[in-house]
Amino acid sequence: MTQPLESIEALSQRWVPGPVAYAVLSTMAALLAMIIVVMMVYATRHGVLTLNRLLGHQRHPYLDIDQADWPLITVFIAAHNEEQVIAGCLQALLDTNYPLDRLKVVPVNDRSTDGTRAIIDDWVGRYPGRIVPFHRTKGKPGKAAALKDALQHAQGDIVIIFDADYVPGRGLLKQLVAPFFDPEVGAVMGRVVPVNTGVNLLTRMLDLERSGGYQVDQQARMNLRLVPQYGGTVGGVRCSAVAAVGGWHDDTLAEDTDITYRLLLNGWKTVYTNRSECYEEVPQDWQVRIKQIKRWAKGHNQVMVRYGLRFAFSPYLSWRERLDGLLLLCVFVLPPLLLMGWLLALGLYFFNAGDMLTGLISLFALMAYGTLGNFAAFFEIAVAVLLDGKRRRLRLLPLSLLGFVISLFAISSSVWGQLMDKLLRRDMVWDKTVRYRQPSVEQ
Amino acid sequence: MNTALFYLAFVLISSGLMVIAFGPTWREWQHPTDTEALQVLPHYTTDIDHFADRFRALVQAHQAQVPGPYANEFDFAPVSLEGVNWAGMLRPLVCLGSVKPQTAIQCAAPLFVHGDFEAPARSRFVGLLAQGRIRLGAGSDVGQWAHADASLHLAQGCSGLRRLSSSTAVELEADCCFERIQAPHIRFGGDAALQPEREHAPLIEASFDRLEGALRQSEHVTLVRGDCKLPRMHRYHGSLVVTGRLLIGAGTVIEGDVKARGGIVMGDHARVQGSLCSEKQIQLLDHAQVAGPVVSESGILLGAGVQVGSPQALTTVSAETIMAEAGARAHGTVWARQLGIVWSA
Repeated sequence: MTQPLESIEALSQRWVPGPVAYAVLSTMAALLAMIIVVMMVYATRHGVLTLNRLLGHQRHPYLDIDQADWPLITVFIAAHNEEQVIAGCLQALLDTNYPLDRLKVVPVNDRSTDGTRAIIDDWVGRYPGRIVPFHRTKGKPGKAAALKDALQHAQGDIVIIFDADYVPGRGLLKQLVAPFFDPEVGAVMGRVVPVNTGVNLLTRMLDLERSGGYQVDQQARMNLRLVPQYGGTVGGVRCSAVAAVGGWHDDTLAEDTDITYRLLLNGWKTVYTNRSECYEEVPQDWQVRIKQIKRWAKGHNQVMVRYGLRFAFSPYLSWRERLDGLLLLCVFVLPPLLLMGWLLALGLYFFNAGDMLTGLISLFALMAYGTLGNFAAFFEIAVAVLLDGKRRRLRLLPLSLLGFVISLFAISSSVWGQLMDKLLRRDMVWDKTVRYRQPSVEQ
Repeated sequence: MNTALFYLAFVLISSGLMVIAFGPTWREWQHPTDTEALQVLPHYTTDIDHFADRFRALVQAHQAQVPGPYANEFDFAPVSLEGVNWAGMLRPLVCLGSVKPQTAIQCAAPLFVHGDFEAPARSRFVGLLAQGRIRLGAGSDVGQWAHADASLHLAQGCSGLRRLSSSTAVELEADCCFERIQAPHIRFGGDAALQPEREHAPLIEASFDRLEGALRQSEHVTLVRGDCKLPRMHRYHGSLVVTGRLLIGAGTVIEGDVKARGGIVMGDHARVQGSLCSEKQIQLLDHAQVAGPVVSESGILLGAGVQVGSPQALTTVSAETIMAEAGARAHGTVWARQLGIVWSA
């Protein structure tokens, strides 16, 4: 005669862990505790940055430089199959108020297979001497490798970089060049504003995310003299500084983060100028978005592995810069950590570790509440949108939970893939982000 | 049973609270009301003569009888200025010739003058644009902006807050207050305080590399950690970054850019041929010269005879507060975010 099945609850109440099981559970609990601490640190960071942006002194030290003996600069336009957008970018650059005799525009046509080359050559013919093309037909794929090759064609010490889908405003070049009058500045970053906001739900959510990232996060880091990040586009670098820190690396998926950290490690500063705004396209479908975020995660983590330790002990940096820089470096490790935290909590729950660790599990509940959707990050976005004066789009904020969950799994999968790449010695692949804009009339 | 009920209630209440938050979200998703991209202005209104330019364009459009929103929005004043009700002015006023009122005026609307304009002491203006020169008597006040195609002169104790600009020169006498000034020649306190420059002794060639704690960052930039003091009458080549305070000795010349996070004191007759930047205060002592932008996140003191920029290479002086002693000169833009004042020593 069979015995009636006991409930899981009854079984777990009867189970008394032995020494090995106890050790395993304790280890799991300790790991969970560490994850909780890390999450709390990040939540605090978001809170501090947001409050600073809201209440603190706003630093725009170079914005007032409107007259100067402007240096000779080279503007690179990174273009790989950009026939839809390259003409608009070139036109906008020729319309800026930067002295034309100090401006050299170099479209970096990186192995395009569409009509990009023809469009560039057409513009070169229409504006001889003002646009100097760099057609790259071979070599290592990727934006970093293309820019590395193109740097040899730079004139002057300052290089400004745009992606081909960017449309700079009339005064943008002067605003981006002005900080370089400070000899300590190695790189400058402007603000990126999504132009295709209204296309669908994803673009609207990315618009919220970009607002938070630039309007609050980057500006607050500038205010607090932390680590404003050079983003690789709508920004510029000082060539002599880049050369001094080892040149442009083309073996990375995040050349912008790579150069930011190498500059900082060697005593240079990065500057963010919030009012130097430029339109960009954001991904319009989830597949593209997921690819983009996976690439960012891989590139960022590469930089973390390369420079994390040196950054922690750099003599050139204040403790605040070191702390902020390290938190920024580790930001793409958080999603797998959070997933691990959930698994640990579930494991502890089903092993009835609550008897041993009741308080800890309560704390994890708090953590989950604070970081599943990360209310501190949402606070950041909300403040950014309010500062931008667009209150009604805040109604979409709760849907950021969806974006958060998708990013969580995309980044975790990327980190896993990166580990496998390392183990199997596979090369990392650079995926270009798809463009959506229709060809402009000028073409 | 009680436990099950508790969990059920918990789930229902939690879901209910969540639905409240998602209600507006659902409506905004299904019926979007705010989908436009954030506005990125192609033109920036931070140009100091922005309002003057805009006002000029409106007047010109009006004179050319171009239909527009302001086509009938101007009043006209006779050259004699008889019968003009300055204080009750509601619409911008156009004076068709040079004018020189005999008594102080308080003009409540922007004023456009086809010629020179000279105002008696204690006059007040909202906005003022003259195609000739402008001279404002002592204690006058410009509320928003003033621009002269020829020179713009503010007598002692005037207040020129917001924007002052000229196509040739702006002169501010002692005790004047200002915020943003733009002109090829900007003179503070008149030329009376200027003294003849002293003879320059020969300079000693020197290198930043020999400074204590110096570290070469790049071919042109040297970093010094801590405070730094440059001796007098030396010549340095290249740019210098100092993490502490920097004292540049009298007569010393730096052929490059200079940054000191902790503040800069530039000795008399010292010269920097690039820019000068600091997070703290910058003091330029008498007759110091800087060719490039001077930028402080705190305050700047321009001593007597100081020159920033040149007529051939205009530049910018920018800080929270700027104090200019009589005899200081700048070429380009002087921008005090909070307040600037001409100090009569």
